[in-house]
Amino acid sequence: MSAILRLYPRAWRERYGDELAALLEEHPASLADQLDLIRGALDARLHPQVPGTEVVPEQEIPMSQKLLALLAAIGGVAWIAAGATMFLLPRTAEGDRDTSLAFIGFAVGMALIGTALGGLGTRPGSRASTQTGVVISVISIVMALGAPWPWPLFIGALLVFPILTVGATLRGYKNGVLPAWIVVAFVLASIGLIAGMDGFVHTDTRLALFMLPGFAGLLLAATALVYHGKPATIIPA
Amino acid sequence: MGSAFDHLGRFARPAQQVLSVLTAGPRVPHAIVREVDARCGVDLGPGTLFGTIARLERLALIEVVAGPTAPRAYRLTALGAETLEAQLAAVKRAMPSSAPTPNLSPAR
Repeated sequence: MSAILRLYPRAWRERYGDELAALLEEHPASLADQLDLIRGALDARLHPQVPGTEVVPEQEIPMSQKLLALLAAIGGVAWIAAGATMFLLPRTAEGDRDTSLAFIGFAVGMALIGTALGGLGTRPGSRASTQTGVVISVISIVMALGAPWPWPLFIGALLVFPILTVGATLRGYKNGVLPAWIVVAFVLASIGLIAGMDGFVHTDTRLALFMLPGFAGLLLAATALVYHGKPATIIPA
Repeated sequence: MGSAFDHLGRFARPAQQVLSVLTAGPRVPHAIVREVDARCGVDLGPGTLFGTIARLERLALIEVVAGPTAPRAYRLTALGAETLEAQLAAVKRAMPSSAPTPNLSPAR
């Protein structure tokens, strides 16, 4: 239980930690309560209420952001499913993995994750920012349409994809519309993609690394459903 | 119909339930959980309860009862009673019911 309480921000624990501990003594936490505490800890970090910490005005996540989250989720699932088919399908006579189905999934994943990032990384109301987002989305879709043939275009797309996604996440972080953990996730995903590129057809470890952008896409989707933007600091009354 | 607590998102309903319980007087958190369960049939999880308390406290709708002992008790502020009363009046206007309005003055 103390591990769950540590998920809460320090300022929150200093203010409510004793009271929560007293409540849990009176009312031992069920599994549902523990899940509720985890959700509460996430809320306390995203929407801090304690004076001296940071807060963002609570508002409904816009429908456009939810749709982009859906694109990122579908893209992430497509990417992971593509990798999974390579794990599951039998190898060819030469010992390679069958890539025919997988490339479709990677292409779809690349287009959708790129499009979602293009949209989510833009600052609302910023024309220049929106234009950049549209360009990133279009490039992602064009790259995906070029896959899996011809090969050079697909390989080129895989090389450009990390640059675009990391660039988009950095821009989103700078604009205050994406959190730092998304930047970290896409940097790691890009490293995995590049490291896995040479050999993912033959080697399980390389294939696992190659699948990282799919998980980054899922994290992006989950983040878009709860993240309201960079918080401002609460001034104590 | 819009609610005075709409901007609290998923904490809007728990906020109304907690304020309603506190109209009967100061309560410590576990008493709030018990009474919300008894009155509304809702089992407020601990994460939801403290998320709600933190919001209500920040909005100055409830306050801690002064005292050194733990756990702290919370009570309704005048603003909290006024907000709850306005909310319940809006609900009553929207419903063709003749149910009496409860006394919402904060008990001390």
